[in-house]
Amino acid sequence: MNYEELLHEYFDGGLDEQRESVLFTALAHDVNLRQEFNDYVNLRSAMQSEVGSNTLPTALSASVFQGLGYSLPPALVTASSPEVGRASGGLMTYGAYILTSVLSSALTALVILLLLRPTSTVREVAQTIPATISPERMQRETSEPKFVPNTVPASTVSAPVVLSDRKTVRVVHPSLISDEVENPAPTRSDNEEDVAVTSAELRSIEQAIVSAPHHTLPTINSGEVLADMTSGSSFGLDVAIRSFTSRSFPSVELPDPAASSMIDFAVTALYALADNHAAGIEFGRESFGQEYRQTFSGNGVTVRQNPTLWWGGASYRLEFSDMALLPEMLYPYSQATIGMSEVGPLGRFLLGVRIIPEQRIVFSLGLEGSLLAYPVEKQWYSTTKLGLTYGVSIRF
Amino acid sequence: MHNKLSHTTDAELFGMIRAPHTEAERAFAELYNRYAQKLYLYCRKVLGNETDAHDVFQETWMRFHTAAQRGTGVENIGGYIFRIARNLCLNRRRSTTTFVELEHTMMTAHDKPYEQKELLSLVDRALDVLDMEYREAFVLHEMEGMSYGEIAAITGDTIPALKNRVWRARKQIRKLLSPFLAEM
Repeated sequence: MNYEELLHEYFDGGLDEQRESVLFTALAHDVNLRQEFNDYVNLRSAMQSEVGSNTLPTALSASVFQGLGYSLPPALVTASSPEVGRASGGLMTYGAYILTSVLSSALTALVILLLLRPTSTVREVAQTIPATISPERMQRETSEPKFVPNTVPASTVSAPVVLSDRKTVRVVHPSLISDEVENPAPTRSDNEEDVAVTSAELRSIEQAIVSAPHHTLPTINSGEVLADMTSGSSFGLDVAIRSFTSRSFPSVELPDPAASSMIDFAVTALYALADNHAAGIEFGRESFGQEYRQTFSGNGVTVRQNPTLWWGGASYRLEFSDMALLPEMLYPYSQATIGMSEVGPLGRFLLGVRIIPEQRIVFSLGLEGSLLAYPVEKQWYSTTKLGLTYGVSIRF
Repeated sequence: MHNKLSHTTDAELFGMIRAPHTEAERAFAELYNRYAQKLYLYCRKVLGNETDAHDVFQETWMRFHTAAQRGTGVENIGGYIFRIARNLCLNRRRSTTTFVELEHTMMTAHDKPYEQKELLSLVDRALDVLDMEYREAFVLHEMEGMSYGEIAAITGDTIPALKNRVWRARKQIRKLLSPFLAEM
């Protein structure tokens, strides 16, 4: 008897009890037949599970009804709305990504913040000391009896002090502080500001002031350095990493086999050219939905894919510091990037806010759009993306 | 509103599509509700790619609607819908078929037990290798759960011929996937 035939008849539901019994007896003794039986059971089980999860896209139903001049019945939307489910599922998935990214960004920023945080600032020093001292006090405490300062600024500031080979500042020497403030605080010139220095730097300033001959104390113009320091950066370099949650148009709901965990990120290094203006480079990796026509073996085929591509380019950032939403905390900004991807030219534009809780750390949040153009068989196609971007940057 | 139509037969609904706009719309929506899911699965599995499946699916309903408005005499409405889709699929396959020899299809082994989802992906690849007539019979019988009689009404083939195709399709798919099935 042909047991294989019985096996197929069994799966077709056409076996009577007697023949079924014969088949089961054979299965009990024939290992190969049993393996074949198990294989078909597994196949059928897998296929039935797919039938159960087969989902008809609402957009497809909508296009059918729209094509006929009908409106899509609400019952169909709810009954066969995989995209509703997919959208909420997608939201959950994206939500998890966003949450993870935000938390990890915050954690990284916190660690960096703790590592780089200055232990004291001149601002703090300035708040604890009088801005001026009396000439008498100066005379009493210096070893130069002939020294009588003529003006308050000259008597209360140090000689230029070099900090870490890159900054010069002027500060009030704490040892010259008098309990009695005899003169009003001097008015600072436009190019003088309180600046942040580390404890070590403050100690070197003190040392320099103590060792400096007081009669040579000049008024110091350190505006350039001060401006540099108050911008939070001495090198003017801003390195940022950010992620994005975005949607491609055309939207292609296909996984990219080449995609790894290193997707949807961008690294930016910008150099401050002037106040509010910075330029530099940016690179990143993300997926772009593509839909184009291509000829295979003489037949035109519509290709829809969702490749993950590397891209990079030149970037320019404009900060709207005059439009700070919270004083010294929230700055609107825009950023534009022009560059190339693995398949063609790319342009990006970002509009967002920079949150500056500390001089060296900046968080950013914004809306970003990008346009990718690519050629296929001498025809140009494009993909646009729109989404949310968020990240953190460190200023050096 | 749909509850009332849910007890209406396919043939009655088909006839209602010739009625004034609102009633036609409701009748069409009810028939769509009954067959769209199965038709979509059929198109996907037989054509093997989403874009073609969407095109054929949409075209099928357009043609079906046109036929209904013309008052075409149809007894088996479900079978008629699938016949339209089948003809469109055959045309589509003829224009875009890439021939792949069974022997040239390599499916490499995996280093971990296969899960059902992975197996399904492999089944799709195996279906691509099958001849259209085997693939169609297999999809309609094994996935859509249609009887050989229902399939015969769509394809116009005899029941023994269809049984033979499903049998051969099963054997070919098993042969292609045997390295993976053994690991399950």
